[in-house]
Amino acid sequence: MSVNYSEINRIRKRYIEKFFGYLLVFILLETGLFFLLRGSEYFLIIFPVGFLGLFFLTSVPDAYKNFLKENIYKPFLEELGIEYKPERGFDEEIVKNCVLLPGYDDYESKNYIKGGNFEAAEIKLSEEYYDSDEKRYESRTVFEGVLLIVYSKKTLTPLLITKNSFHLSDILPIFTDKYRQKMDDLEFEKMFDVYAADPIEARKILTHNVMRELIKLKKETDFYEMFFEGTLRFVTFKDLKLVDISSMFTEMNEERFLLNIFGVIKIFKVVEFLNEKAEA
Amino acid sequence: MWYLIGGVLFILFLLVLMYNSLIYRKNQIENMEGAIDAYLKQRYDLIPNLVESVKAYMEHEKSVLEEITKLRTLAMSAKSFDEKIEYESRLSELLDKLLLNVENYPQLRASENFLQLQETLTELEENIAAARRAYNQAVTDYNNAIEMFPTNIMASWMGLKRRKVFEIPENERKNIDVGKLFRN
Repeated sequence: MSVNYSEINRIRKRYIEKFFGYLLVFILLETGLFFLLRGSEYFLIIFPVGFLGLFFLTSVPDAYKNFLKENIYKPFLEELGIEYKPERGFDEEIVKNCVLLPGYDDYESKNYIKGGNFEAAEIKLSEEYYDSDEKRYESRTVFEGVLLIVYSKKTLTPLLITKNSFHLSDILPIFTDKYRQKMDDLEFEKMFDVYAADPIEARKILTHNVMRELIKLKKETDFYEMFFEGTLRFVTFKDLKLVDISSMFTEMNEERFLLNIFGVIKIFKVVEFLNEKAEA
Repeated sequence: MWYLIGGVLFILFLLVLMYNSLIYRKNQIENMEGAIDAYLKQRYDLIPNLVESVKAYMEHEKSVLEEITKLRTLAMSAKSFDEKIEYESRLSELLDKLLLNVENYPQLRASENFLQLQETLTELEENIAAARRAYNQAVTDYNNAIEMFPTNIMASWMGLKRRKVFEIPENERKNIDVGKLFRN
C-alpha cells in the first residue's frame, strides 16, 4: 500500500495557511467593528479589505475537499484496485436489512468504496421524534459511521459480536440469556458480547487465536459491531469517516493524522483480518 | 388483602423463574453432552480405520497405537460422562501426538487414504474442541446458578449437584490453526 505522504503534507500545509488566512480576516473585521463603534473612519478601509479576504477564502474548503478527493484519495484507492465514488452510497435496501443498524426515518450515504470482495460507505441514519412539548417533530442521529460488507466464500451460521454491556443474568441467575455465548477468554469477555444460536459453531469461529486477534483488531481499528451470516460479513464503525478533511489541522501527530484522513485504512485492516485470518 | 395476594403471586413468579432457569441450564449441559457424544461416536468409528492404515508404516509408534485402541475401548464402555471425559482428554492428546509424528514417515504422508482420514480426524477434533468449550461454559453457568443466591435454595430442593468441567489439553489452547477453521 503506497501513499504519497509528501503530497498530503504539502496540501495539509496549504490548508493550515488558509486557516490562518481566516483568522486574519476575522481580526480585520473585528478591528473594523472597533473603529466603527469608536466613530473612526479607518473602518472604511479595514471593512472592505476584510470582506474581500472573506470572499476569496469562502470557496477554499470545498475546493480543497474536492482537490483532496480527486487528486489524493481517488488515485490512492485506484492504486489499490479500489473503486471510489464520493457521491454514491449503499442502496437503502441493504441498510434496511442490516441487523447491525438501528431503525430510522431518514437515511444518507456517501463516499462509497468497492474492492475485490468488499464494499463500504459512510452512513448517517436519523429518526424523528416529538420534542418535549410534544408539538413538533425533531430529528436525531441514531447512527453515524461506516458500514463495511465483506463477501466471503465460507458459509457460517449467524454470529453477532458486539460491545460488552451489563447483563442481569451475570449477577442474578434467575435470568437467562438464551443466545448470549460467554467465551473462555477474560479480556475478550470484557470487550465483547457474543450472540449465536449455535454455541458450538460460535466457538468453532471464535477460537482462542481468533479472539486474541479480535482484541488486537478492536484496539487498532475500534470497529463497533460485527455480524456474520452465510457468506456475508457485516462490520460497523461508529463515528468513522472514510475521508476526514477537518483533521488536516486538528491532528498534529502524523500517524494519527494519516489514520484520520484515511479512515479507510481501518477498513482495510478489518478486511485483511476477515480474508487472511478468517478465510485462509 | 390484595397486598398479600400480590406478594404471594410475586414469590410464586420468582420461584417459577428460578425453577425454569435451573432447568434451562441443566438442559443446556445435556444438550452439549449429546453434541459431544455424537462427535465422539464419529471419532470412535474413525479410530480403527486410522490405526489400521498407519500401523504398517509406524512400527515405532506401536505402543501409542495400542494405547489409543485401549483408551477407545475404555471411553466407549465408560459408565458416566465424567469418566468418559477423563479418557477422552488422554485420547485427544495421544491422537495429537500421533498426527505430529506422521511428519517422520514420508511414505505415510503420501498415502491418499491416510490423508483423507487425517483430514476427517482434524475436522472432528476441531468440532470436539468447540463442543468441549461450549460444554464447559454450560457447566460453569450451571455451577454458578446452583451456588448463587437465590437459586441455590431452589437447587438444593431439586437435589442438583455440581458438575465437572472438561479439561482442555494445553496444546489445544496454543497450537490451533485459525485458518483451517474457516477453510472452504
